[in-house]
Amino acid sequence: MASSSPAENGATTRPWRLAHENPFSWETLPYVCELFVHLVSLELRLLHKRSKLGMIWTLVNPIVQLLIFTLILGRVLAVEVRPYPVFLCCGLLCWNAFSESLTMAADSIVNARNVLYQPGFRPFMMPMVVVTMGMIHFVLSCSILAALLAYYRVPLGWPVVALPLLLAIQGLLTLALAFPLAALSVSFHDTKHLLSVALRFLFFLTPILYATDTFPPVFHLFYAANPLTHLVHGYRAILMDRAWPDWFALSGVAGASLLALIFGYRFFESRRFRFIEDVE
Amino acid sequence: MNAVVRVDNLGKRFRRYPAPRARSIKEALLIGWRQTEPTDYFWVFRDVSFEVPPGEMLGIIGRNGAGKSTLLSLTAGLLQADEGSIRLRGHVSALLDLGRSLHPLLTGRENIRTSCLLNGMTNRQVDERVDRIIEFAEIGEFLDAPVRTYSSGMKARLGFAVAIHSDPDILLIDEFLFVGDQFFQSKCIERIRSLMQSGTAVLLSSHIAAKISDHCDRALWLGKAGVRALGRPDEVLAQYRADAEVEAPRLSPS
Repeated sequence: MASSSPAENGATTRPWRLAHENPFSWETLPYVCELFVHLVSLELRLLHKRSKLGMIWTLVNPIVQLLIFTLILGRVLAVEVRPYPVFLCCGLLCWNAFSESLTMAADSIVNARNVLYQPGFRPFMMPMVVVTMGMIHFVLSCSILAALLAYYRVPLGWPVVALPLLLAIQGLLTLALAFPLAALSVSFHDTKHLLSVALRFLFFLTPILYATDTFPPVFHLFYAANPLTHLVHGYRAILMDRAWPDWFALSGVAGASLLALIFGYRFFESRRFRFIEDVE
Repeated sequence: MNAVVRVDNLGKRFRRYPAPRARSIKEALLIGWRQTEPTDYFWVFRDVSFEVPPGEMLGIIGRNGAGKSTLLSLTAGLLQADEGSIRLRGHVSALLDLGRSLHPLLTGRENIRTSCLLNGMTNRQVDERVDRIIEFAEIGEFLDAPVRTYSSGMKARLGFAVAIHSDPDILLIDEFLFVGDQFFQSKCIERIRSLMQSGTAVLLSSHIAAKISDHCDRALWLGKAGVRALGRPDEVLAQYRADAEVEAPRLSPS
C-alpha cells in the first residue's frame, strides 16, 4: 500500500488548525485543483447525460437568437453595420456567457446543498465551476462565430491572439458578480428572479444589437460605465476590424473586476457558515 | 497531551429570527432590512471542553436536540464556533450525511470518485483504493448503474465505504454507523477498529446507550447547555439512564 497509515504519518506531530479553517498551503494546492477539475468535468458529463445531443443544445439557443435578431433588426430595421450577423454574433455570444453564468451562479450553492456536508468540500468552488462552465460554453459556441466569419469571408488578423485575454477579463468580471449572487440567493429566494429582470435591462443597455457610434456623446459616458460595453467592443474590434482592443478601457474593466472579486469573495466567505442553516 | 482533537470552552448558538422573517429581497425592502437579521440567539451548549487522543473512540450521548450533530458539524468545520475553539491535527473524514451527497444521475463508479475527492483524496489515491472501496460497499452489478436506481441501504454503504477508506486521522460518525444488515455492520466495526489501531480518533454520536457502551473508550454526555458527564462509558451511561428515569415521569402525560 503506497499510502501510509495515520500512525505512521504521525498526526500528533502536525500543527494544530482550527476546525472551520482550511488554511491555504502549497501542499493542498494540487488536491484543490484536482477537485476543481473533477467538478467541472462532472458538470460537462451531466450535460451529456441529461440529453443525447448534449453539447449541441448549447449551440441551438444562440443560433435561434441569431436568426431572429438578424431577420428583425438586420432586414426590417436595417441596422447600418455590415456584415450584421457577425456583428450581432460577437455581442450575443459574449452576453450569453455572461448572463448564463450569473443565472447558474445564483443557483450554484442551492444546487450543491447535498455536498455541503462533506468536510472536504469548499463552497467557493461552486461559483468558480459555474463560471468556468459558462466560459467553456462560450468557447464552444464560438464555432458559430467561426462559421459566420468564414461565410462572410472576414479575414483574421494578428489581434486574434488577444482573444484569450479578453475571455480571461470577462471570466474575472463574471466571477466577481457570481460570488455575491451565489451567497445572496441562499438567504433570499427571489435573488434569481431579480437577477433575470436586471439582466433583461442590461441586455438592451449593452450595445449587443446596435452600435453606439451614432449616439450623441452624452450617451457615451453612460455606456463607458458598463463594463460589458468594453468587452463587446473589444471582441468586435479584434474580429471585424482586425484592430487591437482598447487596452486602456479593458485594463480599467480588469482592475475594477479584480477589486470587485476580492470584495465579492470576502462577502461569500463571510456568509459561508450560514449556508447549511439557510439552504432548504 | 498527545491529542488530535482539542475542544476548549466551545459554545455554539443558533440564530432566532423574527416571526415574519424576510426570505426574499422584495420582502426585505418592504418590511425592512432589519427583518433579515436574527433578533436573538439560543445557546445549544457552552463551555464544552475535551480532548481526544489518537486511537480513541469517544461516544457522544444525549437526548434529541442536545447538540450532538452540531458538535460533529463544528468538528467537521461545517459550522463556526461562537465561543471557544476546536483544534484539530490531521485529516478529517465525516459520515454526517450517508449517501445524500451522491448524485442520482451519475453511476456508482462516478460517484465514488466524486465522494473520494470531496473526502480529501487525490486522484492517485482514488485509483489505488477504488477497488477496495467497491469491494467493501458490496454494490455488485449496480456499480455502473445510476445511483437513482440504488436502494437507500446501497447508498449508505457506498458513503460509508468511501469515508472509511480515506484514511482519516479523525473520523466523525453521526448515528448512522449502524446501516445495512448485521453482516455489513460488523464489517464496518472491524474496519473502524483497524483504523483506530493505526491511530485514527473516532467521534461517534448516538442516542442509543448500548452502541456507546459496546464500542467506545470514553463517553461524553451532552445535556442541556453543556457537558453533563465525561468519563468511562459505563459510569456516564449509568448517570444518563438515571437522569432519563427522573425525566421520564415528567414527560409522560399522566
